[in-house]
Amino acid sequence: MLELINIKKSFGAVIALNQASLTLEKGEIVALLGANGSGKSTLVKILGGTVKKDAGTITVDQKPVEIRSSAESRARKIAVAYQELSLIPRMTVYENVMLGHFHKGRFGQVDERKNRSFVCSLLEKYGVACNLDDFPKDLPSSTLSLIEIVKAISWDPDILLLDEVTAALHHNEVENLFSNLRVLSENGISIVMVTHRLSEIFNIASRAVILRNGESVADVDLKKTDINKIVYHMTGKMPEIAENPSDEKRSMEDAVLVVENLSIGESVKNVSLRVNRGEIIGLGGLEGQGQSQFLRSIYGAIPRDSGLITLAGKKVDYKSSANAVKDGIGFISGNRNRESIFSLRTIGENIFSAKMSMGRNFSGISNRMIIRQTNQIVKDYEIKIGNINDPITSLSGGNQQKVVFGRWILVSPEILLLDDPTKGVDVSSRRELHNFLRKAADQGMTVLIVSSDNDELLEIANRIYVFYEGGIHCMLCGTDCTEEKLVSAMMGMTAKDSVK
Amino acid sequence: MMEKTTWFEKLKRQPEYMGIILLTAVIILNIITQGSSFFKTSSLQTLLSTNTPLIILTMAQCIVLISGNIDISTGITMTLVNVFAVMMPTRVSWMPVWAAYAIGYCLAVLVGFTNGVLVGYFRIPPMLATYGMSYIVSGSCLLISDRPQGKVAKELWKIYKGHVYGIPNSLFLVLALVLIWLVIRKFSAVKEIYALGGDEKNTYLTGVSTTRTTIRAYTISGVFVGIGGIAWTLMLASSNPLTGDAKTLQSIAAALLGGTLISGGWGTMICGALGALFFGLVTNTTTYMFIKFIPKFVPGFSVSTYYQDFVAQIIILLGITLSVLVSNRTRKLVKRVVRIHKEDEQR
Repeated sequence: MLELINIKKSFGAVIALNQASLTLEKGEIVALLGANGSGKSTLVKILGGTVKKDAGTITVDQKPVEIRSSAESRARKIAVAYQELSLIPRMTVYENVMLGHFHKGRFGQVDERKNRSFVCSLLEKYGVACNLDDFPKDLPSSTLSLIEIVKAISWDPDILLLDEVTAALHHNEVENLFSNLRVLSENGISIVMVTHRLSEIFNIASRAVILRNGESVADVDLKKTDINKIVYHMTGKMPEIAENPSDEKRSMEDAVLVVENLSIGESVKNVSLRVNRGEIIGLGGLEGQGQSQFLRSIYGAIPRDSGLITLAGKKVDYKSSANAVKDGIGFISGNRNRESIFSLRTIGENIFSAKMSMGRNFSGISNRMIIRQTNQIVKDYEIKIGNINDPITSLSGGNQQKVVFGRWILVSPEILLLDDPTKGVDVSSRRELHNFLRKAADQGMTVLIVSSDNDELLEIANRIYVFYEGGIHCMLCGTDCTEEKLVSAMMGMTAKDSVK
Repeated sequence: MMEKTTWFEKLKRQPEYMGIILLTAVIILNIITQGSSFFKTSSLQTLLSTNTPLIILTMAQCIVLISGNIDISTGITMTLVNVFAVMMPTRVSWMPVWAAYAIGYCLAVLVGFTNGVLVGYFRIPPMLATYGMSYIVSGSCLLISDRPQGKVAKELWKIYKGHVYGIPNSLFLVLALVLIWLVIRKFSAVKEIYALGGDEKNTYLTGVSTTRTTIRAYTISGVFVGIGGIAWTLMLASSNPLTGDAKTLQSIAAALLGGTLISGGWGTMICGALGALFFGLVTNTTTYMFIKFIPKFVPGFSVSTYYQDFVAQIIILLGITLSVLVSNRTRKLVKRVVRIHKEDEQR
């Protein structure tokens, strides 16, 4: 009944979807799978009406349709439960569920009693443990995910899209949800599920459409395939399970950073790792498995719930990132515009900004000093710029990132934390950035790098910790560092899955 | 006992919580400084009739604040109604008084609607759009009348300043507006305004038109500002193109005092009414403090009236700080984590 043919979508130079196709029969449950950046979220957003497609056709019941806004999507009886949730934090649960389609009373007013009993019965059916008058801001994330699903279902859709909704759910909640979804599909509702928990899809879906780099590469019957084949389609590599060598065996003597049992809310659970001086440590995994939060909590940008961080033998507990910088920790984000560059300032000032925070509050800074020191960095690390006084926005993304890198080299921190630094950076700049990192590591800097790009991790990291659902799934080093093993770890596969 | 705690817990979750506490505190303070004369009809009468325009204006401001926007043209729009209603019949010979009031009122609604279109459809930042609008309105006022002048028929303002069984008529007006609010809040149209202020992106994702909801919020505000303008006219009993503008910032401060959040999605019009009443009572209290309470203990005490403003504003500032602190304290940490988490997922 729903058909997407050769959908194309690009954001600037980045192609998110290219030749993506998907068909959906009435009452069918289809899994939509893909690795990082394969475009599955974009596809969901196009159907939800929040992203406009560049080319391609969408047909519902053989009739071509245009979905221009989320209201139009709802009118076509398509409902989406979003991964990042679409709830209003300060409205009650029942208002959240019914927003946009309240049951009306005689005078057009909201019929409280009717709405409440309707929402109440839905919540009960889906096993959501909350009151109708609770505010989402006070509820745990697993409950919120269920409310988001109930909200989508309350629209009584023909097509239901579930974007990574099981990520925050517990095992028994998933079981309950799946049995409800099966009932829905028997009643003729078609369901598309996006998930990274591969073992789940065999329980619920009959078919899987797999995206790779924005293209739909396979449409497989789940009864005739196994998890290894699916991972092969997603990544182009057959997965191999890695033995998990223990952290404990490693020598303690030169440990710069030791993290023990660090937890942050529901996103990071009991993570421990140990990093030696001069190492380049990769933190891999699918997006949103807690790597970024982990990195930011070391830097003091996110408060942690529990856990010990020991920096060069000293216990530290940063309340703000300024303290972390004083102790010699640097941080580079891949989200350049938001979190790393000062877009209106010059290249020189951008490089000097970290150094500035090291000085006293009222020490004088002359323009000449900035230019002298920053020119040195530019020369040493061969950053290609026009004039040091040009605004940073005159540079390309890759060069901007090199400038940000130079910012930290100038203060030479002990530890440099990088969160997906080469995102949206071209290949040659990427190689140069990697050379910078190696050069810095040779001089004794310790580097922790989160990356969504497997090649990058394999190329540069001495060891790779792979995150899965907020914990470290395994650690790869030496000969274990192969793409096959990395891929299987990212999917959270264990030896048991592979046998199946 | 158990019953009582749950009742109190329930109140604590309401947006009006802070406003009620502040108001109770200032009423007690007022009774202490003014003594038993506070309960006299004439004294209540003066207090309410002077403050009713601000109360209505704050209620209008509240609905805009709830939608996550702001309107800094409300005070001057109120003045427009005032000037139009009083001066037009003297300028245009064929215009009867009732028509001047009606057209003036419609103009206020039109200003609100236009603000909504500018903010909702053209996406002009609300601060800028309504600031520009305030100058257009202010210019129109001065075109009609460039100085305080004119008269309102005695029969009209007598109604406003009168009382029934000791209860001032202006109080009935406020109660009627509160009643209107209690009715319209039951409609999905108003619930969508809350959603818009709570999270614009998610409101859009849910299939609610954010443009239409913004326009709706500003128009409702305009409807209330119009009523405020008429009350303002009856209170002044003449026209004044200059004084109304100062009420704008007072109304924003009063809305915050009542417990409305400037970031949107939280508060009610009742919050606004409570906050504005607090505002008026603080001024009242300090006046009595300086002319009656302190001289009782310090004979011959007399200072410039500017000290009254000074003390009143300090109390108001304390009130705002308190009300913002209470609502912010718990949210701050949680919000920061959620925001970073969200950004990660969006990337």
